[in-house]
Amino acid sequence: MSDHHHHELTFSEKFLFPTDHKYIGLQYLWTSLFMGAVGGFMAYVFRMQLAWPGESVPLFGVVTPQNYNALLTNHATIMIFWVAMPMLIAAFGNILIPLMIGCDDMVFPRLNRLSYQIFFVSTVVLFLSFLVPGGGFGGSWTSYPPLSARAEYSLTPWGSSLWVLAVALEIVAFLVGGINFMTTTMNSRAPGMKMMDIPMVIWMINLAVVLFMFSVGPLVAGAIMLLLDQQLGTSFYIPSGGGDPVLFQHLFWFFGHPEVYVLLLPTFGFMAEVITTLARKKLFAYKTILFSAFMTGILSMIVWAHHQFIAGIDPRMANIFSITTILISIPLAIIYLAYIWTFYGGSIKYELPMMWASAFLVIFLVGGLTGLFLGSSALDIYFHDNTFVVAHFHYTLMPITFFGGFTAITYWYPKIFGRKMLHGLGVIHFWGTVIPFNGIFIPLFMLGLAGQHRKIYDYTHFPDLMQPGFQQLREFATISLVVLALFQLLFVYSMVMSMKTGEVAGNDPWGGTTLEWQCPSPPPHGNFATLPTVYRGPYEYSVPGSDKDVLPQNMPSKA
Amino acid sequence: MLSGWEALPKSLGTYSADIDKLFWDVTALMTFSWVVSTIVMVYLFGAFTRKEGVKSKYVTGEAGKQLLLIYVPLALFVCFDMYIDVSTAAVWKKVKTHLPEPEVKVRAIAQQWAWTFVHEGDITTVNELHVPAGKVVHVEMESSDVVHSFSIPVFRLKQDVIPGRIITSWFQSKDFATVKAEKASQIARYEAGKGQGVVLSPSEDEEGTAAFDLQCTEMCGVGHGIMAAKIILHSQESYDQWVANNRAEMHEANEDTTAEPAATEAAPAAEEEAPATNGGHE
Repeated sequence: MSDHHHHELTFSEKFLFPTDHKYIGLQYLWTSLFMGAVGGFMAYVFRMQLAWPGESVPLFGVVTPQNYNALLTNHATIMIFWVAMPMLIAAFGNILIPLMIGCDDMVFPRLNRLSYQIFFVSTVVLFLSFLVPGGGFGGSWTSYPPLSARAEYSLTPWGSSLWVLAVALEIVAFLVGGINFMTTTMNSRAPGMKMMDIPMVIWMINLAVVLFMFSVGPLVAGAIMLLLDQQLGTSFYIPSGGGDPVLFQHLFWFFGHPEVYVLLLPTFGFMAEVITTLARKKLFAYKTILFSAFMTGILSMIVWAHHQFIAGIDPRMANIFSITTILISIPLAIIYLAYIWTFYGGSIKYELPMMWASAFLVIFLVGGLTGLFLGSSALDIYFHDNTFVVAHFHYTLMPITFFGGFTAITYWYPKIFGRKMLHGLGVIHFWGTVIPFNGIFIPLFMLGLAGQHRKIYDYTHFPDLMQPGFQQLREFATISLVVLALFQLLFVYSMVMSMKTGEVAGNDPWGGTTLEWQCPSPPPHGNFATLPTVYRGPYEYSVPGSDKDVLPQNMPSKA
Repeated sequence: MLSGWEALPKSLGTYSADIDKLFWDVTALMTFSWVVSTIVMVYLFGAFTRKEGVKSKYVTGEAGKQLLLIYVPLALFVCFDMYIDVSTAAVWKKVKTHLPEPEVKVRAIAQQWAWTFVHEGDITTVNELHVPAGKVVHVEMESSDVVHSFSIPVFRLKQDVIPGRIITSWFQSKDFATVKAEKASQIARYEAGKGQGVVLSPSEDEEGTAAFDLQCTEMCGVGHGIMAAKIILHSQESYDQWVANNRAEMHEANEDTTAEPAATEAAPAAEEEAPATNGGHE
């Protein structure tokens, strides 16, 4: 283990084929940020089409219905599989797990390298799916058959299959990475770190991985049958051949709903770290939060059919899924309340990560609470496939992915690059993101109320949706999106500039308790000069009877 | 601009008001939850901002009394949950589990990218569903290719149309005078606001009818965005007249050929007519 400590890594070992967890984490981070720009650009193009139908979109051109559907489908696919998952789980899981449990690397470094390589191939396959005859897949990220299963319906004979293949490869990459995360967390913790001493973010990332592994099996089976239907003409989902289209919906959502919590849990983990450190507070009710996260995971496995209330399932069954769905608000409310009370009695410093964390708590709550409208089967009759749903899940997923991502990036940036991010630029970027974000999605709630359905490339065929004021709301949402996108350029600029001009951080810029703050910034290959020993749980700030402000996990207690 | 409170279209069906009531109830509960939580959070954010010389408090949150801070608000929220569950079950039963006796039956055949409706006496139309106002209507839905979804926002009715199955949904509109009055107010809103940006005139009505949007709400391929249809609500006299006129036309058309079941004809007929109908909207 220790023989490869302290040697300088070559360029190739750092940036091309690294086995060091930190560089693999960075590969995932850069790829996810790049894909975030791609997914954002797609949103820009189709929102421009909605605001000014038929007009040529700058940097793209005229949007055909096929373009529109393919952009919509791949925007969703990219944001979930190529941005949220790699950023929240793979990037920060890789960077944080060994640093925070106090070991020198993942237990399977080469498996870790393989994980990113498969992920990279999946990205290439996804881009190829746009270049084949017929163009990219446009059957929506849910890819319901028969539309997705037959080229005569989808009109994308190659695009559909490459899209399924890309998603399948991405899933393989995460399975490989996930095995590594779990094994490392269970086996390589620093001496003395008991289960209840593990920092919350490491718990949350591992729970997300477990949840992903439990739920993804049926999707893989479903995807294989879909590929066979597409390429070999089998009829697993085609009724005329004896198949059932609704079967795929069950398999898809059996994965698809837990997936939301797979993304949410890591961000909840980031919140725990940032709030405690920057408010100098012990996490309120650590165990209660942890058990509620377990409950959330378990419950999330039995809510999937709320996506199918009106999809032809037995209407009596909808009652059960409606109840389980509403029930999941209980463990989430517990976690939320625990976070809120963590602020009580704190000494809060509004550094950039803290700004993002507090914005996350306020804004994500809108997404969480609007979920109760949709969990109600009766209300879902009206809101199913309506832009109210679009607004709801963007109020969850955008705070999870981007507010959560910015929280994590600004918080651990000093550890990764040795300097803090520039504060002034960060504040401008913060407001330039939070305000237009609401400007995009509040209009979608309103239009959804007015009965506007989703995935429509041009509403001018629907007179009831073209009443006075409606198109202005669409334009307002699009302009807000453009403003939001422009402010992201500032973030890119800030990320680059801060590497040179940011305040030098030192080992521990925030005064944290967890182990990653006990090694140099950036950590060398092998992380710790001597591997740490842990004496206590995390988040010991202002402990009564101690003259110190903070008791790091590895500081021996002098009895 | 459109204000949020008037965004929800007037409910024109018999069960749409139940859905609307549930919506406003849930809105009240959730708005309350968000506002109270946000006030508490913003207070905490402000009250505990770092001050020189003030140390933070050490609170584990594990002690029984401290956990009350979680479980008391949680109990209130669980009550909200239960209220939503119970009212949801009642509304859901009325709309989806319970199927009242039909007064009118219609078949709706969805295909890429048009609706074919087969009315009484096998009167077949494309993208126009004709029904008498105030009657219990059963819609028997089938799809000849992919998954579509049948949605009429003014009735708050939505049902996916699954190939290989026949799914029956129902609605009953309010009486014709009420429906017509809503259409008149929609026209009035249009007249008042047609200068503001891009606006389309409401669907044109003939004497004794009122038309509203009928949508396909499930992604069904390239033409999903143009799979637009209308529900045309008739007064009873207008409906009888419409049926009589169409019967007469069909009778003339069928004089030479033996009448075939409309179901087999519906699909090819729709394919030919669909582009023309869609073109008509532009």
